[in-house]
Amino acid sequence: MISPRATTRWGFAKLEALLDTIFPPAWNPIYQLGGLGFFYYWVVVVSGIYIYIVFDTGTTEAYDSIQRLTLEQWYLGGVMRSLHRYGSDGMVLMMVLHTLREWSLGRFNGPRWFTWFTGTPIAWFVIISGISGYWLVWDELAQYVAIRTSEWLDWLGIFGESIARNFLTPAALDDRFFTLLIFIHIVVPLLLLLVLYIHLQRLSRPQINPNRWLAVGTMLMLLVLSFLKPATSHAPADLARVPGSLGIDWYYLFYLPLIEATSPAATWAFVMVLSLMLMAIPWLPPRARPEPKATVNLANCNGCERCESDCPYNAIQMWPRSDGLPFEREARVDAKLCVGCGICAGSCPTATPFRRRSGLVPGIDIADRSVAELRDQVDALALAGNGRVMVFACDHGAIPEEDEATGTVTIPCAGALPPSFIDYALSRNVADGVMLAGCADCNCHHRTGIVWAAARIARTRDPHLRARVPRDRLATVWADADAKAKAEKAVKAFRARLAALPPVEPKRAAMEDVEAEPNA
Amino acid sequence: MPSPLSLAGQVAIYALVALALGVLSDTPRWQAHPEEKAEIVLSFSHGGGRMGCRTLSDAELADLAPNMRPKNRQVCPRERMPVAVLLKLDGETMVDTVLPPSGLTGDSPSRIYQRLSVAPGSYELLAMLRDTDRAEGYDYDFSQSVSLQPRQRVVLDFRQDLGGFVIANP
Repeated sequence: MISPRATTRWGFAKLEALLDTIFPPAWNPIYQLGGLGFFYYWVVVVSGIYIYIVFDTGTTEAYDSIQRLTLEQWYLGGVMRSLHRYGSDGMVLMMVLHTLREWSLGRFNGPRWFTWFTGTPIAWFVIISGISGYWLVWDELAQYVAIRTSEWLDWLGIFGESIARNFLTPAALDDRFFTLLIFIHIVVPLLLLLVLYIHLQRLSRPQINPNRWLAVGTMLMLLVLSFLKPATSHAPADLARVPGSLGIDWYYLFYLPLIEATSPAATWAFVMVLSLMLMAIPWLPPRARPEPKATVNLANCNGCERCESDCPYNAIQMWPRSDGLPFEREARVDAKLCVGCGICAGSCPTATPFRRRSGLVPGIDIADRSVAELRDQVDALALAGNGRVMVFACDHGAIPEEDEATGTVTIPCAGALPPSFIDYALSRNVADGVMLAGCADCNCHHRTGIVWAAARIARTRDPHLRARVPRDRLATVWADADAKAKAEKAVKAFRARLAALPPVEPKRAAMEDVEAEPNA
Repeated sequence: MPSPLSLAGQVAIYALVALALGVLSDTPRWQAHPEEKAEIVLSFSHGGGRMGCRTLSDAELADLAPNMRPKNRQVCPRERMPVAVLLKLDGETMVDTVLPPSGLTGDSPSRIYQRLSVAPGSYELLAMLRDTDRAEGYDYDFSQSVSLQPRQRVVLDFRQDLGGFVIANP
C-alpha cells in the first residue's frame, strides 16, 4: 500500500532536487518555508501599518478611503495594498507547504510534538486575520464574507444575539462596528506573533528569516506582481443587493463555497476534525519508535557548554556542579526534548576514539549508539584495494553502497561525528580517505548537524578537526536519502582523487593514543 | 555568482509563485448568488409572551412587600411561549414554523434567520406572527406588494417596538 506520507515525501524530494539545480543551497526556498512565512508576515505588517494610516472606519468611509488609496495613490498606497494582499496569501501558501513538508519528513514525532502541535493554532490565527481584513474593505466581497461568516458563527448558537442581524440593513450597521473590526484585525496578528514565538520555543537558533537574497527575490516578485495585478475592490457594499459573481481569495475564503456546497454544520465539522487531526498526528499510528536519548557521564563532563551550544533542540541545559568535581557547571539532558540526534556527542571534546587507557565514555553520549560502539565499527572495517574509502554516513542522507574498498559506518547525524574520528580512521590506516555524508546542504534533518560538522572540519567551531589531518584525504557529500547516485558519484570521484596521492604511511598507532582528560 | 541558466530558472520559480498568488487571490470567480434571483431575508429576534402567568389573590398580594407587588397582579415563571411565524408569497407558503424560545431555561427571545431565493417579479407578501397562547390565528399580520429585481435583497424583520413587521428594500 502506498503511504500518503511517503508519496508526499517523494514529491518534496523531487522538488528539492529540482530547486537545488536552480538555486544555490542557501537560497533554496523549499528549505526555508518557515522563514519565508515569517518574511511574508513582516511584509504584511509593514504594508498594513501604511494602510492603517489612511483607513477610515465607517460604513461609507471605509470603502472610500481604500478606493482613494488604490486609485489616487496607486504607485504607493495601491502597491502597499497589493503587498498586503499577496503577502497574506504568501503566508498561507508557505504555511501549507511548510506543514506538508514537515509532516512528510516525520518532524512531529517524539519531542517535536510540541512544535507540530502549536503549529495548528497558527493556521487559525492567520485565517482569522485574513478574514477580518476582507471585511474592512466593505465592498460586495466584504458584504458576502461578513454575512456568510456571521451566519456560520451564528450556527454555533453561543452568541447572545445573531451576528448576521448586524447586516440586515445599513441602519443596523454602526460605524463603530468597523472600529471593532480593525481592532480584531490588529490584535489577532499580534496574537499570531505570540503563538509563533511559542511555536519556536523548543528550537535553538530557529530560522525566522530567509536567506537575504531569497528575501530580495521574494520582495521583487511581490512588487512586480503588485504592479502587474494590483489588488482592487469590488463595487461598494449594498445591503439592498445580493452580491453575485465575486473574485474570492481562495487562500482565506475557501470555507465560504464549502458552506454553500454543504452546510454550516458540515463546514464546522470539517474545520474542527481537520484541526484535531492535525494536532493529533504525533499520537496517531503508526508511531515512530522512541529515539534513544543523550545521557551525561558526569565523571567525564567538564561543563564546557559545547553540547548546550550545539544542541538544535534546546535539550541540554547547564546546571551548577553537583558531584564535587572542580568545575563550575555540568550538562543535563531534558529527555522530553532530546531527539537522540547525537550532535551533543559530536561536540564533546572527550568523545575521542584515541582513548585507550580507560573505556571510551565521553561526557555526553547517545544511549543506543555510543561513541564506543562507533569506534568498534570503525575498528571492524577491513577495507582492501587501492583508494579505500571509509564513509561516515548520516541515517537521513544518502548512504553509498559498500564494496571491498568502501566501508560505511552510519551515524544519527553528520553533526554526531566527533571530528577526531576522521583523524582516527586515517591515522589507524583504516582507509586511504574518509568521507562524511549527510543530508543535502541546508536541509539537515536535525537542523544544524551538517553546519556544525562542516565548521568543525574547517576549524571554525569547537571541537576542531586536528590540523595534522590531511585535508586532501577528506571529503564531504551532502545529499538527501534518495540522491544515492550523487553520493556514489562523490565516492567514485574521491577515490580517483585518492589514487593520485602517495600511499598512506601507517602511523604508529600506539604512540598516538592519548588519554583525554575531562579537563583537557 | 549564479549562472544565467540558474538565474533564468530562479526567475521562472518566482514567476510560478507569483502566478499561484495572483491567480488564487481572486480566481476562479465564485457565484455567490444566482444573478437572476432575488433574495428575501426573514429575520427577527422576538420574545413570546410569558408562559403560565397567573393573577395573585388579594391575600397573596397583601403578603408581598409593597414595593414587590406587581401592578397588574400577574406573576409569571421565566419561560416564554414559542413564536409561530408564517410567510407567504402570492399565497404560496414559504415559511411556516414555530420557534422555541432560546436560552437554557427558555426565557430568551425566539429567533429566526432565513434566506429565501426567489425569482424576480411582483409578489403579494403576507407575514403573520403569533406570540401568545391563543389557540388559533395570529397576533400580528402584515401584507405588502413587493416588486423584486434580480439580486435585490428584501429584509423582513419584526420589531415589536415599531408595531410589528417591518420591511426593508421592498
